[in-house]
Order: sequence, then C-alpha cells, then structure tokens
Amino acid sequence: MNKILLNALAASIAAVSIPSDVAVLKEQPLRENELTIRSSHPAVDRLLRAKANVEHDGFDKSCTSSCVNDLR
Amino acid sequence: MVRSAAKAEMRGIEEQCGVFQFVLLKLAARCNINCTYCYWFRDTSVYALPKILPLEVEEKFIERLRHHITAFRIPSFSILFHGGEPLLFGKPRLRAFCDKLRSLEENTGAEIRKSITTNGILVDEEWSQLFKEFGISVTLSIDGAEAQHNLYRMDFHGQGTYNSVVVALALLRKSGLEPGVLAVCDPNSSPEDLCKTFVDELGLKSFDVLVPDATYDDKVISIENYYKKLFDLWFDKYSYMGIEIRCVENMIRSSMGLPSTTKAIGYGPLSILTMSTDGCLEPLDVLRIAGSGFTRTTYNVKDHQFQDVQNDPKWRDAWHASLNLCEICKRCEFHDTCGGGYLPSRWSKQRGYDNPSVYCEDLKGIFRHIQRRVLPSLYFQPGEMPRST
Repeated sequence: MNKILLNALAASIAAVSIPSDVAVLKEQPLRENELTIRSSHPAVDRLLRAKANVEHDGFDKSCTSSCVNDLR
Repeated sequence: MVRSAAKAEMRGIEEQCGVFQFVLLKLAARCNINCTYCYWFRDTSVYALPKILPLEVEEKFIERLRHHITAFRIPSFSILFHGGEPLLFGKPRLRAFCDKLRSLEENTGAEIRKSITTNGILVDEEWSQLFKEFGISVTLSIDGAEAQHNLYRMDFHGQGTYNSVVVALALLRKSGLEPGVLAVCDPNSSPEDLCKTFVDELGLKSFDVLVPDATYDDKVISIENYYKKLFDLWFDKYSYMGIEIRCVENMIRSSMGLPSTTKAIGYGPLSILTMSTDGCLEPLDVLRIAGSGFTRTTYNVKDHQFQDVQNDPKWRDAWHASLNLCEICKRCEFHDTCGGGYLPSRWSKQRGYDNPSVYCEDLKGIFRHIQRRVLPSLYFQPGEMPRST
C-alpha cells in the first residue's frame, strides 16, 4: 500500500466511530495484509478488488508508441 | 569444471533478472505508412535490418523458444508480433509460423499467447480470419478523431490513414474480434474529443493513451493537464459506462500499491525481450530512441539462448536502471507509484539512466491529482476488519 494512502487511511480511522472490538487498530501500526480497502467509486473498487492481473490484456504491453520530437 | 561454473553463474543471473516470459518479435523492419513521430525509424540502424524476418531466423527462434519453455518449465509464454508493420510479413508466412507455434504448444504443453500491433492498413477479411483462427489478439493504432489521427499517421503520399484503420476495425469486428486500441497522447489536443471519438463514434470499450516517447535530449511538451483531464473524464463519466482506459487504471493501480500492467507506469524490473528481424536479442524496444543502434547487443538467436542476453552489458545496464532509481526518485513520495517513469524517458546523453523521468514534474502533478480525487472514496470493509481477541 502506498504510504500516502496508508497515512490518509490511518487518519481516517481516527476520524470515524470504530467498534470497540477493532479499536485496538488505533494503537497499533497498520499492517498491509490486515486491511481490506474499498472505494465508493464502482470502477476504483473494481480495481481494488481485482486480483493482481498483470497478464496479457490484449494490448501492446511494451507501450511502444512514438517519439515526441515530431509532435507538432 | 569451467562449464559448471558458467552454468552456476548463469543460474545466478536468472535468479536476479528472472526468466523471460514475453518477447516482442519484429516480423518486419519496414512500414507501409510514414507516421511523423515513429520511434522505430528514429533509429536509422533499422534500415540495415532484413526487411522481414528471414525463414532461417524464424526457425532458430522456434528452436530457442522450445528450449526456453522446456528448460524453465514455462506454462505460459507471450509473443507480441511487431514491426515496422508486422502484416508486411504476409499471410502465408504468419500462418506457417503460427502452425509451428501450435505444434510447439502441443509438444511442450505450454500455452503460447500471441498478439499483434498493427496500423490496420493491410487488414482484410482473410487477415481477420487468420487472427481468429490462431487466437491472435489484435491492437490497432488510432490517435483519436480523424483530423487528429491524420495529422501524424499518414502514408508516404502525405494522406491520412484514419479511414483505412476504421475499415480495419469494422473488418475485425465482422470476424468477431474486438481489438485493443492504442493512441499516442498529443498534449495539445483534447482528451474530450479523443473519448468522444473512441466511445461514441467507434464504440470502443477499452483503449490506452500512451505518453509520447522522449529522452532528456528531446524537447518535451507537458502532459500534466492532458492526463488530469483524461482521468477526470474517466472518473466522472466513462468509468460509469464500463469504459476502461488502461493508462488511467494503471495510474490508479500503482497509486494503490497494486502492480501495473504496463512497463510505462510503476516500479519494477525490466522483463521484456525484443528480437529484431536479424535475430539480435535486445532489451526494451523503445530504448532505441536514445540513439541509433542503442539497443543492439552482441547476442543473437542464431547463436544464443534467450536468457544469454542477460549477460550483455547493455541489457544489464537497462535492467539495473529499472530497479535502481536516481537519488531524486529515491527520496520522492511517488517512488513506488511512478517507478522513476518509463525507462527511455530517464535517459540523457550526459548522465545515462541516472535521472528521474523527463516528465517527472508532470507525473507528480498527475499522481497528486489522482490521489486527491480517489482518496475521499476510500473506506475499510467493516466485515473484513481484523478483530481483537
């Protein structure tokens, strides 16, 4: 998890009401593998829930494209 | 004794660099159109290459691939047919090549995934059927609206090629194929127009917009505003229509610490092998923008196995640079998200790869914008919170 997001999420924990049985998180460092992060934005949530899919997706994976030189 | 020492050394290299599972294979070194911005012909050494992959090199490639899959027990290997324009290879040759790959699959039990990137000019029903028959994923290059596309992607008579590529798209669809589409970002153009063309006119469901290739020795135009707008369009509108814009999704993925699906975004080792039409084994294809012949190594499929190229100083330099970022990047809050930028964009004649991306400030602006917009939507899944005992 990106450190910036982790910090922001840690801050968000402090800002919301947390059930007593999970309040221990406030005092403990967050560990990545203990968190399930979701998004209220459907497409972002899909990205978060998708397994790490770095396989072939039908695109040119190498990103060969163009040179900037001749962009007019 | 010497041989076993060499073998041990090679094993060490493989453990460090990884075993190739992807090759970008140049079927043709020439092209049938004359795009103004082409990275390939910026390297003038490509004119000395065989125009299309010679049969003897193709056969050697198959032999090396068989060894590679068997030696490393690879369950799935990907080949991207590339050029120049790969369809210049011709239908009979590609059909015969794919037949050999099919036999190889049957003999080894490995899956060989095939894809092709084409300008679409030569696509006809027969090509479409061939792609379908052999399960070849197709990527078309379209730069957006007609006027935008024709500005850069023109034939040798200066005529735009938009109409031809739209015909190719229709032909592929007629055969039941839905190609991926790659556009190149023109920072001076409108991402709104691009999305309208791709989604409303062409009915695309997924596409990518590539950052223009550049090194420190080029004059670059800022891409920050373009990609911020593109992100906003996707976030506020097109994502709700089920549209996937690969670069945007990868920027979000890498912001969240998830792996990116391309080499252009995110931190990670160089893992792509390129093979030229003369059989030369090379690192990342686009690195050739660093200078004519820049990607050439002393390793050739005629004499060497795929993994051997990892001994080449140029390949190792590129691999080392992909993991060892410059001091500025090491201290950067976006180190993991950005990964230093696309490797070619880090190159300068003066300092080699020891630079942040030539687009560094733009990338930081884009990632800040994405995080600012995505963060408020994030929450914990309550049911999956760890419980105290």
